[in-house]
Amino acid sequence: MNRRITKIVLPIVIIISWELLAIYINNPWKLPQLGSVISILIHPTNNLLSTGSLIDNSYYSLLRVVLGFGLGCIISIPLGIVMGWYKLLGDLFDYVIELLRPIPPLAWIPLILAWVGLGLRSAVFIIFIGAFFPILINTIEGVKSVNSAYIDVAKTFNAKGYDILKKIVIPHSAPYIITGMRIGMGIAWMCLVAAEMMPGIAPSGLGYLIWQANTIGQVSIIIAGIIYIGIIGLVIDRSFKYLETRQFSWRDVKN
Amino acid sequence: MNKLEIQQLNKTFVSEKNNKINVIKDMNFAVKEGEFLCLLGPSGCGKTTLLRIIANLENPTSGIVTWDQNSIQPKIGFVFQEHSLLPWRTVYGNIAFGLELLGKEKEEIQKEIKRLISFVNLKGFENSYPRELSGGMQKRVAIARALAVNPDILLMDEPFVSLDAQTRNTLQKELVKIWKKTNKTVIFITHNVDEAVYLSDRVLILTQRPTSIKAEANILLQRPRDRTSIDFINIRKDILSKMNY
Repeated sequence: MNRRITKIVLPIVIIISWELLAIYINNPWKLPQLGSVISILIHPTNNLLSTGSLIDNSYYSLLRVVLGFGLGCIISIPLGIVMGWYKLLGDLFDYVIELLRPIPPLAWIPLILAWVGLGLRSAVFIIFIGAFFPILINTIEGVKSVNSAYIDVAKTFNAKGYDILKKIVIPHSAPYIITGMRIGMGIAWMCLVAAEMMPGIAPSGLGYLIWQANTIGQVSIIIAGIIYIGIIGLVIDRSFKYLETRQFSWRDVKN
Repeated sequence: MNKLEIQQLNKTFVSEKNNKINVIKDMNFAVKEGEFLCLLGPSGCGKTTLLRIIANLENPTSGIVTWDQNSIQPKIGFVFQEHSLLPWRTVYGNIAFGLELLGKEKEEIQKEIKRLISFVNLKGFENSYPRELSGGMQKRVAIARALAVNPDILLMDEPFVSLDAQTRNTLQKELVKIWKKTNKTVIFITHNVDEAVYLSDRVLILTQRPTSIKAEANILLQRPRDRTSIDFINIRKDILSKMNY
């Protein structure tokens, strides 16, 4: 209980300071007062700057993330499993992956625009790149860390390769994969918002809304948009965290 | 009748730097049906490798392992030294593991596990995960898992080495009971003379690496055995003098 109070102190201080500072500055183009932001937040269905409502824009943003992230999972999880399991495949892909991995996903934007053009596809592609590597790396790590004793146990019961993969490798790697997905989702969400701010990439979404608000100096909409991005990101992250601890309670996780 | 015969077995490991390490040298012995055999040898002598070859986890460099005619494709029950329970499976799931791999029906598995769980005194822990169990209980699960497939042989690789003395004694006692009830052939590896004399019908004393058989001792004492009896102590002495590394 005491810890809960400790944790809530700083947010309250920040909110109060914000309000005091806003009153002191008295310039809504720099820092709007709390009330104008809250009034936007509590009317999430109002059309803003003719881009649609907060809800509409969140929906478009989420749709892109789900598509890009889903595609990332579909490709990186099986690839990670075979790369971790078959040394030859791991070695074959190793240099390419290591070379591409450190490139910030947003650096691909010009190329992606050239390849797939504007619209949904380009946004999905960027998110895909953002989600792909953390999931892949964690999956490989999970598969490689399988205790050889577990495989021996399976072999004494005459298990063949497929059984070992299904009954040992995948259950062992599952928590690693979920962790990769959580990290990948975080990066995907960041890539999305940045991508939506790029001119012409997709005329909707929270990033687009923020950018539109910027061009006409509507700081309260910018802040409302940022808060939405933060809340959605938090909810997604917590859902994965919940999965990690609940589904994998067999691990010795101490919170 | 012999369950298993080992003839002229040799094993040499070749390291990455092409160094050859000879671990087993000209090993010959047979195990009788229903016998409790202990392999007694110093740490690192290659006894685990021997057991892994019998379990077909490793191939011998030369020599053969011959099974009796009833077990052309022998079913193995292997109890490993440590940490072999699957941490993502409950006690129930771990014991079911071998039966699942054999493709047994769900109901049949359920019936068999119910029987085994009470057999090894794990009632009430069916849904616990390995990390929630004490060392002794984990061993019971490992033994139950090995027995579940009704193996032709039970191979035990220093299973009680990490336990405290009291738990070890309890489990040794229980193992003797289990062995009597199931009539399984057992090969049990240990470096503990006391353990070998308490458990086995026969002890093979192994040499340092590259290991071979140095001496043999039959133990005809009645079970359950009394560690403090004169006979027990004399056999211990005899084996210790034969070890004499």
